Amino acid sequence: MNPVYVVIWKELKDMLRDIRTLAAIAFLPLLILPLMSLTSIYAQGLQPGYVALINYDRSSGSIGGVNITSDDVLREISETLEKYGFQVIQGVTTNVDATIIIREGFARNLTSLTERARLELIKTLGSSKADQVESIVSNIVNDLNFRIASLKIAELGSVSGLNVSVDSVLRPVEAQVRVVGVGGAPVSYEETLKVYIARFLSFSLIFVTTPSTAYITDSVIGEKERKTLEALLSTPVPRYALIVGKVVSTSLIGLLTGFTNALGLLLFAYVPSLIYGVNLFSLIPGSVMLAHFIAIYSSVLSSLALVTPAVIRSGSYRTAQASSMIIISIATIVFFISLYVDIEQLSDIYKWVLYVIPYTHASLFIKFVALGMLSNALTHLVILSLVIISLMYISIKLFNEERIIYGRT
Amino acid sequence: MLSSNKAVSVQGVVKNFGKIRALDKVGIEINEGIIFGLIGPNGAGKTTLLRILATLLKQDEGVVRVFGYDLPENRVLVRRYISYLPEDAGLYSRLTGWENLYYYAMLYYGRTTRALEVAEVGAKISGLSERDLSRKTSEYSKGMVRRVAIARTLMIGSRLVILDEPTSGLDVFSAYAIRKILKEYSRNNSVTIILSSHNMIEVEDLCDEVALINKGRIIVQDSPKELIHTYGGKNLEEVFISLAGEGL
Repeated sequence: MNPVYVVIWKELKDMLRDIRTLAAIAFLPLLILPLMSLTSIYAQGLQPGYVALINYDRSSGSIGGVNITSDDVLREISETLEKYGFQVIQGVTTNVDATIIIREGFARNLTSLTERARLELIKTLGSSKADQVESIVSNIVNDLNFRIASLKIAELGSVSGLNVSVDSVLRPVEAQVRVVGVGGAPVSYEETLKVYIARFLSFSLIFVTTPSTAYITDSVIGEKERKTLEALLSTPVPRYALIVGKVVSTSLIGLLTGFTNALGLLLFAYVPSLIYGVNLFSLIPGSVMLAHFIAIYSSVLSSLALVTPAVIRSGSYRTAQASSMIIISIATIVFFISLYVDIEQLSDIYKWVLYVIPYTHASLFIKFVALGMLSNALTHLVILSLVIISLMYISIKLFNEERIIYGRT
Repeated sequence: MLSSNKAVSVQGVVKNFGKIRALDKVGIEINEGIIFGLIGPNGAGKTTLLRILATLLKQDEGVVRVFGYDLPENRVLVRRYISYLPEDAGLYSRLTGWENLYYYAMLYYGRTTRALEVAEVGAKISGLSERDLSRKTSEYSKGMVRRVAIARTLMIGSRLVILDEPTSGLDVFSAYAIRKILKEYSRNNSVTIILSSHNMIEVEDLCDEVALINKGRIIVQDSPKELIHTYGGKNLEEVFISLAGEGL
């Protein structure tokens, strides 16, 4: 291990002293991602929204002994919009995000058993606030629909003398959802949430691959371009020590950067969750966090193991980076798929294609730890380790001094 | 094998890069303990030959022996007996001068006290002050970089030192300092040094024997004095011009 240590000694010194790059790759996401989250939330609050309310209705109506006017509906809309920070302007005006119009006969039609009342929403093109107004109005209208329909059903029931339940008319089908664990035992909402968080953690591995591939490229091709490689290759240091030393030291930096990047992404979700009173981190069990940490390191090692054979046969940064981009793209696809798809449930051909890619096993490892299926988790971790070792062996076998020195730049 | 008095024996070596023949049946014999100069115009094949001796390239044809060991078969073993300084060799810019020396010492001797001693020898050979050696080499001048690179190559105590254009691109003072280091090292240690150079004054001054290489072929091999005497030039430069002739 001595020659490996020597290479690691030099590589870590070299990489850790490049503070600017390290800060940009490792620590900036920790700052930027939560800041992105915060600014997008507060920027929305800072942006004023204007809504015009126009009421052409002079009619009135009653149902089930309840008098309803369009003013009541508009008041409810107006108060809700103001609660969300909108400025409500009564009457026709320009330069607003949205205009809500209530047409003549609204109250009459609303209480009628044969007509439908009409409310118009005019959205201004390009206004993000207009979408928010649409969502608020839609909720109010849904609620109003249910209340008025309930009154109408009760009225019809009373007229016909039938025993009518509002729910059985309006919601004749009720879907009941229960979540059970792998053994069939019911699980709590928190446990369900943990599995979703595990999927999100798998997805966060997307950010892990890029820094480590950049570092290994610099570690090999950078030596060539800075003219330190030839002398190094003429020394008695074994080739395995060079490759293992470079990969291990790069993986340690990759672990740091991968961890901070993944943490940055978690903070991106954590910050708004805190604002809405939920502590996401408290829902992540220690075992899943540990699995995430192991998956980060495994993914970093997988990236390095995949990219190193290509890098050591590349002549220049450009060709090495092209190879790295392919690896990063594959990783991105796998981690993105893992957010929505149960890989082990896919049909054989798709499943086995994905099983060939080491990142799949990193993703499944986290998932099975979250589900408490430790033997499955361990199987995927072992497969992943074997793939990494095999690829490292290939890298050592592919190492060719002549190819590196004379590789096309 | 190590008792062989030939440091290097090259016979009928051919090296092609695609359609280009870089070395064409090259043959040289270099005795142990001498400074051997390899001179020739750009693209003559000097670097290719030195890279083969430094175990970085494999010849397509011919026999290469270093201290009696055939290359490339024994390249792992031969690396223990050689140290190589490529042309324009760089240093690790984020490491200090001392760390650059210590790293190379560790590559040969591991993490031992011997490595520390070797690095101390390197520091002495470089002639740089302790303060300079504790600075990152990104702050060094070109001359200082070359001093450390030369020291890194010599400090190992290898039996064969291969230097590709050790003074190219350096100002007169830095080149003089490098030549002084090489002379002193050669006088105090019975090692074989092979160096390539364009500078005829340097080669005449330093080398016990020289070989002129042109278009991948060795044209002549002898001591500078003998060459001047045999070919009737005032100095090695005139011999070089007359032998390489219009081929240059």
